[in-house]
Amino acid sequence: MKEMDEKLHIDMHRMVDELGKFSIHMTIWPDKMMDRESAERFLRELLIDITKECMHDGADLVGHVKAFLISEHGTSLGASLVHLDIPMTINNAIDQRGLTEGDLTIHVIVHGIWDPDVKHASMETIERILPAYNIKYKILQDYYEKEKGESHHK
Amino acid sequence: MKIAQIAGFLGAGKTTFLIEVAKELVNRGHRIAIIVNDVGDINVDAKFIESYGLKAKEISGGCICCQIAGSFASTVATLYNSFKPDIIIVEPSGVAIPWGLKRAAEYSEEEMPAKIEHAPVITLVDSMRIDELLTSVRRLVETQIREADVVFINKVDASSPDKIKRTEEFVRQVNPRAKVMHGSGKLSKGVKEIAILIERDISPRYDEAMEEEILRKEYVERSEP
Repeated sequence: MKEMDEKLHIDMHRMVDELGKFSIHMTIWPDKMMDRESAERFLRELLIDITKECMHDGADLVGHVKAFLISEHGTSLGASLVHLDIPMTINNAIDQRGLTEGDLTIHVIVHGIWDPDVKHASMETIERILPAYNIKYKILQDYYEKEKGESHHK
Repeated sequence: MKIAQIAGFLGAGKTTFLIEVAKELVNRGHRIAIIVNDVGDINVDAKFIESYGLKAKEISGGCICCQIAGSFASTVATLYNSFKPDIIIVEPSGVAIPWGLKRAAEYSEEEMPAKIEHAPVITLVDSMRIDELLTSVRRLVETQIREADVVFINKVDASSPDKIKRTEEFVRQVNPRAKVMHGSGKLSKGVKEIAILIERDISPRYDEAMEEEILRKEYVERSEP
């Protein structure tokens, strides 16, 4: 890549990439078997509340807020939210076995606030909603990288 | 081997649309692989796509059109060498620039005995959120539309006629040469037509001189006082 080309490319990204991002991967354990409907209700509430919290903290546009939950049986539940006034897209393949252990990935991208604020809004909501559903959890990876997140916007 | 990129801002419905297009292409006898890239360091989409029985590779940790172009090129070559797809559908991150991805895909030719062809660049635009998009991320949406061969105005089943009209007017103003289509990935409306375009048509290869001239006009001259 030529120097001029590279500079333009970086400039373009800086101009357009005013997005705050946060993603997290965790294992969850409901205190008792969580059925298909409860799992969906839980994921809906979690994504809506994360989004509300981001908007409350200054975001002006949802990029996407999405999650993918895989049960110990291999069945899955996907949820994606792009606007608080637009119904969430849900793909629920959890069957009658429900889940007692799940692999949960959450991905949040919004416009108008930077990565640290998105992390704060997401974690605050996770720490509130999961205990409210009697779900224990262990964070496997938190993909927030402070230096990278901030340097990108300098 | 053909690379078909389905671009569009975050939330434009790329993943849903891509799954439907991939299913259609498989039904038409093609060997399809999918590469998904997200700006975050973790990718939800690949897991979702695989739950439909499709072969997906995820690339995380940056944008494949620039920051991790090398990883993308290696992934394309690895897929070719191991799976021999005739079409790789690429879902770039919602902030990727289409020409950057073309260039990155062509890097893979150094690592495999095949030439890259590009299917028409398809950019999805979310007609339901057009007003918010033009307020907050207009520049990016403009770039993605300007570089498209086909602009697919998505979610027309759930959007209002007024918003669809505004979206189409904006698209035609930004890119008068693009083919404009309306549809809904969720309802598979327009999916077959897009699959035929991917199968049949070719988009030009990356041309550095041409792109540099376009970029200079768009991003340097426009930002000068």
